[in-house]
Amino acid sequence: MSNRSTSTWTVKVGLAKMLNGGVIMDVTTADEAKIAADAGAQAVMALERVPADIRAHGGVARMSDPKIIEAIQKAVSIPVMAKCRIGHFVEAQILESLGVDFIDESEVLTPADDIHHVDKHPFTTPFVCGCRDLGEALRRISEGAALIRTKGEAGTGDIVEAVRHMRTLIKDIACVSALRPDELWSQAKSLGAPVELLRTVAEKKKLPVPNFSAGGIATPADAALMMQLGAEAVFVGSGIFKSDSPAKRARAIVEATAAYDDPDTVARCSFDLGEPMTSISVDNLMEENKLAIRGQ
Amino acid sequence: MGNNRIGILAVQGGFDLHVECIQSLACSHRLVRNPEDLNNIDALIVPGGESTTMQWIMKKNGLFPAIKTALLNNSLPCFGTCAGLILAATTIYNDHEDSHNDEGFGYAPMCVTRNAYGTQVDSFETDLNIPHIQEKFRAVFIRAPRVLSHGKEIKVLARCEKDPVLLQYKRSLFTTFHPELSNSLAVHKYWLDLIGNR
Repeated sequence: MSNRSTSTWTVKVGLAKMLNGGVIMDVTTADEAKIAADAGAQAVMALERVPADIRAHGGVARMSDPKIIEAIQKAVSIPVMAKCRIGHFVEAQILESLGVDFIDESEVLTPADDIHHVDKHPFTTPFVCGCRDLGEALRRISEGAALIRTKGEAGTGDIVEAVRHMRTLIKDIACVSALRPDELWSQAKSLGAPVELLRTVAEKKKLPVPNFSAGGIATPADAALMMQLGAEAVFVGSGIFKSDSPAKRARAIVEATAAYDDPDTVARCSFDLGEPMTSISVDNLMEENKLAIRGQ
Repeated sequence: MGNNRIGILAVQGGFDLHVECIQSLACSHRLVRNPEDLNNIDALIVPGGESTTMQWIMKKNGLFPAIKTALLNNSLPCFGTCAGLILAATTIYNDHEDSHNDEGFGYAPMCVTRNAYGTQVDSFETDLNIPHIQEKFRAVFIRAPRVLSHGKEIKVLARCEKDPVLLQYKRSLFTTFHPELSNSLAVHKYWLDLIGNR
């Protein structure tokens, strides 16, 4: 049909909008993907190693082996996302060729380019990118990201950075919404973001794409906290498969995310989950060991 | 304007887009998250999203059997878009290894398959001709399902190439696309008329 078109903005953002109110789980194997899907995950994120292991073992963290991604795609019917390194547009091309549903250009992997992000517009596959504030969010959207997640600090199990980034983003949006139209120009300059996008944010009082939360969610209460602060959905990385009983914790986080404003349900699903992941306080991290500072 | 109270299933997925559509048509709505929420509604929208996730949450809190009973009694007309259509079907095909998750409401006599067009890179938008509703409706298909076969009681209102994409069963309406992502409210309005809202 002549009027049929793929990779339009509506089609890209449309998938992000269908992922409202659920949990996206990091998985490294097809078996983990099945556990995640059985626990009610709305999507899985394929990566080579979960952030806690990347942090512990160091070295260069790259895109997953395509063989593993393909096995995960065969294993589950929910969307499969996968991570590429910041600026590594060839890893992104490979992920598109594999037919993944979303590409996460992620600070959790070792950046391939210290200046440029991937130009995401020419891709058919939609992209998600991390941010710590409104300026970062709008720079990623202007590069073509169809979904934003606040970064938090992946692999720590400490929610403090996720909270900081979400509160900062929401405060930034509120500030922009209070500006006079003639003040948006200088605000755009100081945020390093296009004024057209800033004008949209000021009018709608929200980002032009959905905003999820990531980086540090380890418990059902953490997930519900991020949802109450304004996240539309949550990414859980090491929090599930680095905990004592992944399936049980995964189910509990899914349930708490769906019923985030119902304390009785969040309380009930917080019972008896065993030990959470081994956590690191972000306060004890050296600044240069923070993943969130990558790719600004 | 409308006097029916429209329930919108809000456990996961694009429910907020349906809220905007229903508000634009000046109808009152109520979000449905628990079985009690069904007591005060006259019709139900089951939105797009991940049907396996929605099933899982609804089974956990008792909403799943409650909706199933209401549908099978014919006491709750519904409007299912994408995942909503999958959940309503009597037969769901799934060639993935997680297929044991699949059990829908078993309401509308049709056989559907998930992600029938491929992954997100194959998602698309196109103009549909929907006779009596809208000549040129910009329809958005996202990891869309396909209706492989259906009972005689089901009326096909629109097709995309050969595939039925808008189907009516009694006072319920189903789409494989996402009318809530279009600029037009014509499909929502058609359903509200169908359930006798105005």
